[in-house]
Amino acid sequence: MNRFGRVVLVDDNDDDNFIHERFLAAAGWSQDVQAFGGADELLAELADMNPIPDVMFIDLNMPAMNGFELLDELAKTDFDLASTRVVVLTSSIHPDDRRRADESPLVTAYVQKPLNLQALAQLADVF
Amino acid sequence: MTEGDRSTRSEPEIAVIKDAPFDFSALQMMGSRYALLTEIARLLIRAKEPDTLVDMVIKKLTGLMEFERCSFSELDAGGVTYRMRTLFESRATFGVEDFYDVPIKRGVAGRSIRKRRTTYMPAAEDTGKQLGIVDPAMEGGSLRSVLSIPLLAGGDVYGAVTFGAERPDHYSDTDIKIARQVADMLALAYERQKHIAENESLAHDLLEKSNNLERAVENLKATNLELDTFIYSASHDLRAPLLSIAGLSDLARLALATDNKEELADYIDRIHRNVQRLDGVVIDILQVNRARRLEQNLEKTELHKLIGEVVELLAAKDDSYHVDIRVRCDIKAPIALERRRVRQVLNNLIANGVKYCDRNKDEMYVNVSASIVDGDLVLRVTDNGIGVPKGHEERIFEMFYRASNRSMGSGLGLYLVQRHANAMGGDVRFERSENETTFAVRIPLTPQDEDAA
Repeated sequence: MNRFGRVVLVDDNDDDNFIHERFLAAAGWSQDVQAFGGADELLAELADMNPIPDVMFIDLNMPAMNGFELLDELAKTDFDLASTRVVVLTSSIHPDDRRRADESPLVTAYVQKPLNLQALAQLADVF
Repeated sequence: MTEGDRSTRSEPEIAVIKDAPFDFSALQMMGSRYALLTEIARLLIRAKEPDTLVDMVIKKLTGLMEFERCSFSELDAGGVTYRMRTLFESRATFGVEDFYDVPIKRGVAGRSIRKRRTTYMPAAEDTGKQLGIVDPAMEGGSLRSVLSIPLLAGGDVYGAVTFGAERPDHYSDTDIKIARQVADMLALAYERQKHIAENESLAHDLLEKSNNLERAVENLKATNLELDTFIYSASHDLRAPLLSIAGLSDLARLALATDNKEELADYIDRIHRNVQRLDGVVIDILQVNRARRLEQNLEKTELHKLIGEVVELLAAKDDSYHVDIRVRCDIKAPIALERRRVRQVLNNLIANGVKYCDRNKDEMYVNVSASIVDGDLVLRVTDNGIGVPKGHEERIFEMFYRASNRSMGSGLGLYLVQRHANAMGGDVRFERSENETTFAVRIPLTPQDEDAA
């Protein structure tokens, strides 16, 4: 039994997407994990996305379009994110990144990489 | 000559003299010529450049026919010669003559030779006694009286002011006394000018130093900013593989608990890849740092051999994807190059061409060419790979910039190439054609190598 429906990962690092997918499965969060290698890939498919993701994990430091730019783009789209929990999942320990993420109305939580069972348990409490 | 004689001379307007530290009542009593000299001094005190002012003063003297002759000598900066200038001559309507450079003799402040007449200046060390002299050498000329006063202040001789008259004994003791006062004032004016000039040069030096300091601070600020950016990016690029390794080892622990050997092997492979990636980032960072400190070291290099070495090493790597690396080098003679820099430039560009090959294409190639164009060595590396996404052309040379998530590199390769190219006085350009990407590096050659091709 899974806690969530669809979960989306946006991260340029394939290994991280792989790790996070495994942990989401192991923690019983979701079997429906969709991983995107970049913001542009997600934005290209967003309009037709069905079902709407319950949770969206967004990396910050990505080539081309970074996580903050993606958040800005998401805020501009018609895509209904009201029921989606957006989590910034990053390796950044820079306070400015933390502050910017906190200021974004879309962002529900800010989590340090990598996800593991403990981190997911804590995150579920925040939700 | 009496004071009564002088009172018959015309009296020009005397400017009101203010703020002057001298007793002018005596001057006014004596008549206008000294007063005029006083005004010269006053103007000199305020003037920035005494030389140009003297011309002005001469004009002021035009209407005054008091002296048969008045000359103004200025000691040059080296103290070797006087520059002598005739201020006024009664016989001529008015004329400013050229400067005369006159060597200074020991014991004599200076002398001018003019129209075969010799005017002796009083000896600098004897000025107290010989303020006014009648020069015996004048006898042959029209001037019978010469009053020459050195300009002395603060132990320096600045020049002399000389009056001449055709009448013998034209100058009285009072004349000498007052002329001396005027000369002192002129000397003070010169001394002051000297100090102002010194202060100005001092102020100029100070300003320059402060500007230099400001520049140094700006440079330091820029360096700090660069360092901040560097640390921010480097810390991310160093932490990212580390955190992946942490996640993978967590997963490995889970796999171990369920005794899933297949998964475990996969995790270990991935851990290994991330370790290599991390190592690559560290090596690149070290290279960037070294590139900064590398001192110029031109070595005679056989370029085709150097390219061959680089290509051989890259082709031997496991991840060369069977990309065809073709080399064309027309330069056979050895040329003086910074071999380490050129090697890293070639290595980074060719490795990029291989890394970003388009695996959907039947033919994957990287073309390397070297030629001499207008005295510059031009290295071109062209590939038919995935290319640089449009809109990223400006940023690909930035530190840690990665245009694609295909790259597991550090984002330092092209930055390093640019660093090296600039350090060698050249540059690197990016060119795009329909299905090819070219990086062209231009490196100026030493003059003797410009025709090496």
